[in-house]
Amino acid sequence: MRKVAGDIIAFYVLAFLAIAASIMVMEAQDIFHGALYLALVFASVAGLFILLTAEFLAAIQILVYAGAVLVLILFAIVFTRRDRKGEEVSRGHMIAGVLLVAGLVALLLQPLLRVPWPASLIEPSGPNTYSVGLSLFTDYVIPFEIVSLALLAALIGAVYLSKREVGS
Amino acid sequence: MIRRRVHGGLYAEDMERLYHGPLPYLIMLIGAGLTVAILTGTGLALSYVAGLAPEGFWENPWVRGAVGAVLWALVVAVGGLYLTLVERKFMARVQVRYGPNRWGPYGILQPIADAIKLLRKEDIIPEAADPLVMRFAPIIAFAPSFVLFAAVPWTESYVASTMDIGVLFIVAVTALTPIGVLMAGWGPNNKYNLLGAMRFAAQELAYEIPLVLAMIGPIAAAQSLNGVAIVEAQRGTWLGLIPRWNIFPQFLGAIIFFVAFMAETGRIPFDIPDAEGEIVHGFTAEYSGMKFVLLLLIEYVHLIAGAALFVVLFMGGYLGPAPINPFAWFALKLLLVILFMMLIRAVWFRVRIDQIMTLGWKILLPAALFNIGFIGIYLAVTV
Repeated sequence: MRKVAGDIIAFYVLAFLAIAASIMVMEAQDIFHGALYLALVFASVAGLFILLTAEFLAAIQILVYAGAVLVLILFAIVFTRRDRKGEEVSRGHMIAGVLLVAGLVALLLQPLLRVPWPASLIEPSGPNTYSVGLSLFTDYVIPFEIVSLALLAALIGAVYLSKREVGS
Repeated sequence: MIRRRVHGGLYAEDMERLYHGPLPYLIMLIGAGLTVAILTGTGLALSYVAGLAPEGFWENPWVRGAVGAVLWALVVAVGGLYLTLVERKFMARVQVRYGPNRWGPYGILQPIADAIKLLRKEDIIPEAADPLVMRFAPIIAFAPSFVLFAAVPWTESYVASTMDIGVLFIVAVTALTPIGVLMAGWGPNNKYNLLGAMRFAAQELAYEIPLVLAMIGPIAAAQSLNGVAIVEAQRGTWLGLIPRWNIFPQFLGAIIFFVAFMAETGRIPFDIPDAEGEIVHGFTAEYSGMKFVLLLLIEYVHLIAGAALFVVLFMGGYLGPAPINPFAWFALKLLLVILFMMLIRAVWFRVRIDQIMTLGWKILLPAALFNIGFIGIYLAVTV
């Protein structure tokens, strides 16, 4: 019983952190601060994964998002931005942004409304890294390979786009 | 004959004898014996104390976590503090110098003097700095490299958390360090800090991939990510003589891992993030006092963590023949790997940034990929 109470407290703390930090990502005046709040979002979401006993996913979340993606974002900021305060958003951008977000919300609502959410807490299922690996390479091997190919294509595309012609 | 005092109470002739006669080897032998004895004694004492607790006491994750954190904090704090002295004395010995010798016999109080000096320094935040980012940077940079010890098994039972994802947790947590370092580069608004942090992050990103790929070998051999399981998979011997450590069949993987974690610690020969001569010690440039200590300690904590991981993955962790207990075995192997890294630092030189990047992306990465294929075939044939 005590463990369940701990789970609930942890859930609310992490959920609050994740939401507050995502608001701060947008509200931060300094883009560098915004990126740091994004790190907090990633870390809190990893904590939520642990509460769902998906520790493999949590570790990957930290490794890939907080570790690699965010460091690259920080890198890009440090490399490029001279003015740290940002600029005014034009009216056209504002409307386009609202439309884009509305579309994204509509898209996300489809699966969210369809999933039968469990009414009670999920029981810890014990170690599951092994079964994650197993199902990745048996049931989901085709999607897995397709994703790998898509990533490879993106990688080659990125190299091609950023490549400078020799001599120019 | 004029006798010149050079080393506390010692004379030049004594030093000569100390460094060139049979005496140094005898001292080394005695020192090694003493180290083994002390470590074994500590291990026995720890098991005795741990045995006093009531049944099931150590099963409680809160107890394990708290005690593990305190013990590892001791190892990291005292170890980190005294590794600086060990390193300076060891490097001095290799480079035929004396090293620190003013505070206490053979300079054994030097780290304490250093610590007092650093703690008493004024804590300066430059006017143009981003104070919040600058203040939090050392904490965020240091904390991950300490948290990772939760999954490092000192022995079969001395492990703070027997989590299923073990070594993956360690790698994931280590990946957070560059965030703190980039904060330390950005916060003080100083070009040297920024340059140092960028170099650190670039190096870290480049070497993280071969590091993780090299870890796949031992993980595949044990079919588990758990540290204890990886060590247990190395139990036994070949032909009753050679221990079944992963370092023997997976020599290439071990080299890749070793080089990669040396680059991650940012020590010579991979210390371009510090590079005192060109960017005045990089991302620590504007820091002073306790914040500086934390940033400086990252290097030593990474050193301990990397060596511990190397011992677990490739050198059979706590396994070893009986008279020396598992606790002492792990500590001894840890010391051996750390000393080897210090030896490299003592005899090598700093390499250029393009050489570091070339080594990471063009040599270690393909080698690590080849290694995975090789390990796959090896495991398919032997298991």
